[in-house]
Amino acid sequence: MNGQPQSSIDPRDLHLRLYVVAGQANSAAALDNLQRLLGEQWSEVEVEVLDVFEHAETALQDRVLVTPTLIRLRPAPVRRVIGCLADTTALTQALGLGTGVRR
Amino acid sequence: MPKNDPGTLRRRPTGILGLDDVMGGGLPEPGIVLVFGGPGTGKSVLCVQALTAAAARGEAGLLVTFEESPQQLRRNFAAFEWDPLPPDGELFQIHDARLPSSVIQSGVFDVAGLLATLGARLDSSQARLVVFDGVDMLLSHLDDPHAEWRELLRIQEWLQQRGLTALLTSKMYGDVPADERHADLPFLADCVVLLRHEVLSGSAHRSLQVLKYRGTHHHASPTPMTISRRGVAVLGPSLVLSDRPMTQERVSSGLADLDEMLSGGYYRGSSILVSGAPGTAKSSLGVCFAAAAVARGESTVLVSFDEPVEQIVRNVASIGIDLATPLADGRLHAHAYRTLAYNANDHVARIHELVELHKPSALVVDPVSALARSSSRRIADEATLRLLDLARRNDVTLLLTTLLERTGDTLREATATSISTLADTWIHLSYAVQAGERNRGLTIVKSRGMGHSNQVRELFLSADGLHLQEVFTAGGEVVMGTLRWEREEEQRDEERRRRSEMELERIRTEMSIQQARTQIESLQHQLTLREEELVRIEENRIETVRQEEARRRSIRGLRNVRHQS
Repeated sequence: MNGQPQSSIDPRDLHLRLYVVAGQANSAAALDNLQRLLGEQWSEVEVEVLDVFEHAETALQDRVLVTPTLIRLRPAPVRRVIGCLADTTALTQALGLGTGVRR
Repeated sequence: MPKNDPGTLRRRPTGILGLDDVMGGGLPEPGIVLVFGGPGTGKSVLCVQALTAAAARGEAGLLVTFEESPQQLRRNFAAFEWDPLPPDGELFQIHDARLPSSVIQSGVFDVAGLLATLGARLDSSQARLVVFDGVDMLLSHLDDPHAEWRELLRIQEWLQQRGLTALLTSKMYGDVPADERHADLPFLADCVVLLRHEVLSGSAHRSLQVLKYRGTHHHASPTPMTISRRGVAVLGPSLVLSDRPMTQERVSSGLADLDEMLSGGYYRGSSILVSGAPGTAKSSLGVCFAAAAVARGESTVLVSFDEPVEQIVRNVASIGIDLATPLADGRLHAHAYRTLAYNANDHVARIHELVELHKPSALVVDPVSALARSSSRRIADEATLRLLDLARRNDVTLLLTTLLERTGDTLREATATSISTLADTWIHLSYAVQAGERNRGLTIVKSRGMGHSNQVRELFLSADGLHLQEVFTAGGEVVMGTLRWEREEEQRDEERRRRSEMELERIRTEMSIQQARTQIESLQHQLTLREEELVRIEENRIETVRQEEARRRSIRGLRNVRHQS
């Protein structure tokens, strides 16, 4: 439930999949924002960046509706964030990173 | 816009009754159609019905749902009498495009993801028809009119690139889009359709209006529409005014006497209005016509709003018409509907479906005036006009009975509707109450294009059918029944009297002549007597004179003798 205080997640446990459209401003911004949020731990996090047109079948299976879509595949439960990820607070909460993120 | 030549635009028929007529042939192929309407106006039904019709033709389609789940949609449409939506496969797919509530929005998004995944689906199917049901649902999350507009353009471009025919549905309240953000939607589309659902005169009425259709001649006014278990039906007027040449072929009315009055019968494909007060045998006349049609081996449809079919069969059996046999062997299709259950347009839609199904050559609706029981007069009249048009377009000879009370001589005023002007033949049945008796009369008020008698005939119902009797005219008044018999007798008496008077006169005159002759004879006789008398008198006189003369001579003689002595 949303009311539960979230324990921070170790970024190394994250498996993210980001669907983008190559060359689109939204998508570029999303990637940028995500990188900024993860900061130094960017290399430790498993992030797949997929072009939605090139990987349409996978997108279909993942029930992607809009772009950019960021899916937290692990740890469970699966979470989805849509948009260019400009709202850091929402993104942080969605990914369950809490205050554990070192910037 | 080099699109004004209808020849370059291809139209995909929707398969929805009446819709293609108001849409200039169907959906643009390729092209985008926006379907606007408030909740419950039938946007989804219309689109899904088009998909179902396409699937039935073997044409693949794709339904993208933004509001309802695929399972819910299948459940919704299972209630209709169409073939069920095909399971997900090559012919038909439902794409779930609902944004889950658990999704967190962080910043602006675009619909490229949707288009990519749809592309993946289309690559595995041959779908040319796509429905976006509730696209406003997704776009409203953007909360930015510019962004929404941009995304719509993205969708439009994608659709155009793939050459698809697309139906996009979006909510509207009244005549205004649900929010002003969507006010620009019409500019994106090749065709914009607005669905309305209003309550007029106490009953619900649906309408469909083609607000715009680029490069296509379409019908631009709101048109009545119905939704039944058979789906959407649009009751538009035909765009092609019936320029069909009226055939010269005559079909029997079912009464030999009436056929004679009409110089052979009704024209095939024409419309006949039979009006009259209750109990004047309008239904019987209608059934007569139906019976004659089935006797010719023609498929016939009978629609009754007053009586159940079994009742009609019983009623006409008493006048020697057998409906049970043609009903049983399928030449006659009879349906009785309760008028109050549906509005006038719903009823006409059902009749339209019957015509499509049975392809009859004759249709009887008894009485069409019943349509006004569940709708306003105006709506009922319009529905009746559509019925006339439907019959004309399908070459169906249509007989409508209508309740009409005649008060005095106000026949024309009472039928102030245009139906009586449009119907080719108008027969009025009346009651004449004279000398304590009610007799039925039949008048041909008008009959377009053929000779007809202006007289009233007396209509008889007997065990061997309906018959017409020559009327009796006496002193300028039309008379029927017992009174007619009496008058006929009177007239006979009158003639007899005159004859005997004349005889009497003759005799008298002859006697006069005789008398005169006799008088002449007697006068003649007297004349003869007088003449004889005159002769005698003359003879007497002469005699007397001679005798005198003789005496005088004799006296002179004597004197002479004395002298001489």
